Amino acid sequence: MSNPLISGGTLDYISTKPYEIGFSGATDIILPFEGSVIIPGTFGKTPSFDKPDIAEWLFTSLLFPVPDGSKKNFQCLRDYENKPFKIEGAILCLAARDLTPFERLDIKGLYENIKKDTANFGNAHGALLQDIHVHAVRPKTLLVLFTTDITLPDNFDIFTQKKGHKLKADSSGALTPLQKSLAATFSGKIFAFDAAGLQMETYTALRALGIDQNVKKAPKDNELRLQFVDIHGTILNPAKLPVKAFQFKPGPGDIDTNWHWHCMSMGQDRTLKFISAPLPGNTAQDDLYKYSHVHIAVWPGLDFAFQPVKPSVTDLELNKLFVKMPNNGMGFLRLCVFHPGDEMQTTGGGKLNSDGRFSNDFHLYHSDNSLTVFNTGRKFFADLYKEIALPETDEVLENIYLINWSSSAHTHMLGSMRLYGVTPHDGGKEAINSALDTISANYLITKLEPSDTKNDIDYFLLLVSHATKATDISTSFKIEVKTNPASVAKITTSHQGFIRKGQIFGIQLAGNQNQVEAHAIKAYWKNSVGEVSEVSKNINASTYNNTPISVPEELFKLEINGQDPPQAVLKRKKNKKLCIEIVKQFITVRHSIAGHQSQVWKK
Amino acid sequence: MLVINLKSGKSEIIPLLPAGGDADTNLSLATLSDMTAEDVLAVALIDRKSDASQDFSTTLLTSFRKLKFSNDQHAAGLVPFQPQELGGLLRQSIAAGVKVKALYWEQFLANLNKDDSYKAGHSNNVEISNLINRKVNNKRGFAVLDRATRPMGSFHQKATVLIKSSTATTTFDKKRIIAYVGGMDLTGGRWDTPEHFTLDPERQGGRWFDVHLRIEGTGALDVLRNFRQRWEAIGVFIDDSQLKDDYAPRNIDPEIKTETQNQFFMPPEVKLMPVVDPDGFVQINRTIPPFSGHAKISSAKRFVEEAGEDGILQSYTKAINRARKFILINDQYFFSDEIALALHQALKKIRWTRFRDCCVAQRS
Repeated sequence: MSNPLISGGTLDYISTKPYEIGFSGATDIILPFEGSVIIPGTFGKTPSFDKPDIAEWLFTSLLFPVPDGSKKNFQCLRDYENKPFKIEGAILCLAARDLTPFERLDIKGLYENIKKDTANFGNAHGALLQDIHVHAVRPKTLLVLFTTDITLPDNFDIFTQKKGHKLKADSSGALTPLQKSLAATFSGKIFAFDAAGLQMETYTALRALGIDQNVKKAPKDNELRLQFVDIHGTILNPAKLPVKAFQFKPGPGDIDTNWHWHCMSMGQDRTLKFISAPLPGNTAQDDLYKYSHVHIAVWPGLDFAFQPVKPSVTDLELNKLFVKMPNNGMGFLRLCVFHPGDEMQTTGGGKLNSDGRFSNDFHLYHSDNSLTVFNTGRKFFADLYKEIALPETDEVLENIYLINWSSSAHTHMLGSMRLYGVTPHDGGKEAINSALDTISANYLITKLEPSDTKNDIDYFLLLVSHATKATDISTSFKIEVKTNPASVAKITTSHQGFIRKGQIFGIQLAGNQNQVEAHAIKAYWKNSVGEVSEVSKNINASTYNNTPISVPEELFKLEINGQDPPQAVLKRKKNKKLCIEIVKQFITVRHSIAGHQSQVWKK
Repeated sequence: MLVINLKSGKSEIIPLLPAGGDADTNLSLATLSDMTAEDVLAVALIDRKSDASQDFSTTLLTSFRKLKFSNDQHAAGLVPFQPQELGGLLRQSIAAGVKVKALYWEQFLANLNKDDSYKAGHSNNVEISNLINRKVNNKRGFAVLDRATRPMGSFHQKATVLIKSSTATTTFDKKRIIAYVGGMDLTGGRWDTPEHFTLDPERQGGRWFDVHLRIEGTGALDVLRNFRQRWEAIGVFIDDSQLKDDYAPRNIDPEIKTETQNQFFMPPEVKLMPVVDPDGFVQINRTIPPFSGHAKISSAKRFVEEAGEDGILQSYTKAINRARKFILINDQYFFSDEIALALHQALKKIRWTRFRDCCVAQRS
């Protein structure tokens, strides 16, 4: 053993947790590469450096992890399920800051035959992939978690040490507090993360770092655990890849459902073969689309093009990939499989920085979503209303997030008829024509205040003169009333609203100088299967000559109550005398004019 | 007293002096439980002895007076809403404890003129913002009029995200997340049917042709992530001495400020509803222009480079470049040089086939 990680203890492979390596009885840790040593700080604490550049993102996040309950949540690191990495306990982080230790791994050799000037190069990727300068299956971060009860020093900054430096035994001023903490033997766990911050199998990571220390119960050198990931490193379910099938010599082995990988024994002739033809017997266009033009690559790639899987079979000669690895083998490999047709945004996620982090958080695409397309507002609004107002019995709505260019609080989510409780009309035009006949033969018109003095428009209200006539209207419908033709009043549409079965209703008309314009009423309705019909009728009103008793503006007021959402409250303001005065006026007028016709104009 | 609702067509006879009322103080005559703020009441005094069977020509004492809520009441969100209206739905949710956050575009005139009231421009967003921000029984939502666009620009995003939890078991910590994204704003004029009948009694506004998508699953997280980035940018603008004058919203109160600078909740795990074969491939694209406030953020909250982001343009051009036989584009605004060039190249590519017809139709 020439390149150990710990001294005085043992490393253990935990078969039930293959992403971890346990250790115990350690007396020291030996830096496996030239890099940085970090001890996480307290959340909310100001970093010791003013403005970390992009290369410092990992260190910043590790120094100041996001708290998540009792666990520490590292946003910059993702576990094998692509969730923020959480861990409890004291953590020592060993982070490589250059790639020097990895030079001997020649992944480029895999695609050495694909030249940049050939047709295969670049036809499946954009600038994004050319910007990737990180290596697959190479850890950039090792987390060492101490499970022994030790107290790590506060205010412990990042420091860089050369490969082989011993944290406890070597003399260093910066290490003094740590040396005291590591006075006894200690135990813990080791985790590894690749350059993009995605957790990888630690045993392979240690081997890739050149650590040849014996690991108890370690996998055999000819064993390979193969994972498929998307372009972000998100692990894909091997059973749902966008390829028809893949074959591996001597055979892929079973899928481990916990880790979504194939465990297999590698022979000398190691070839992975993808078959991407459409599924047999299924010629649906969407399947053709889904299973054609698939591309694969070692994730995350290095200056090489993704290799298209076409026309039906593509072989990856994995033996070339591993030829320079220790023991001529590699225990863990991630292959990126993606469909460029789904890769509509060539710079999705932005550039991948040298740290392996995308410049924004967007994923390129997500599979396994349930999608519904609404081509009308009716369906969209109704669905949204249902999800907000009518949740399932075992569900609680917690958050609503809204983004809009324009939004009106008065949007009728279920349509105006539902809001007003108006039912469809299935009776044909006769009932509507009859209703319009009733209106045109029995109306009276009275003044509607206030007038629009700015535009010199007077408003009037058409009422069906007798309440029983209103009840004669046997169905509900909507009306649009326009001046016909517009001549005096500077208005065209004077009214829009519902005429409701059996109700007293008013229709606003327009005019000026106490003259009521001629109007046309257009009635329209919807039947129960959604068809819309309309009929029209003219209303030829005459001059309105009498000024009725005015309702003082200050008599009534609309307010709201304290409920949430609030309801309208109609209030009479505090002026009892004013009410009495109005009644007196009415009595005076009634006695002075024969009959009651002077109060209103009547046909 | 006769009260007629001119829009809904409902009417009611209400006593002017309700029993037990004090005539020298304000009297609540009626709670109009089914009234919306956009309804208009016509109120007249009728003969106290009259009833519904009488002829109004003999009972009507006065003219009608139109009653409606004032523009100021609307702008303040201090008007009634029914639960079937968006405002009522949101207030009902807030009252039930749902956390509501909203980002609305502040119209570009207000964006250009720093001294304008934030009510300038499309005041409808002012109303819904104030409605959401209104605190009742110590419960409120958080709505911001976002003005971080480049000059003359607008935020045209339309998205809604819902997060739900399960009460079925106490250990279930996954969240169900639903996102709606597409072309339809949550405003009255967007309600329409496939038939687009010119006269449709159910519709509030004119005809509207558009598409919206519901995403349930991990793809919805990107819609939420977009919200989060814009939301946290507000918190940056508020305190950034270089950016706040141009981009910090004007309708910020201390609680909104705190909310934009607190840690944003992202569901740790997403539950997919039990669908037989969820096969929806989703990618969220967006456009963020250079020179917008977002492109100028330099702090850790930066989420887009100074050059901006043009993922939608890229997806268009890539789709056109990959087309072999047929391209159908349905777009409200269609004046992109890049798209025109891509179409030109696509037509050249297929010139030896019979699929060469090109038709441009403009919606009237």
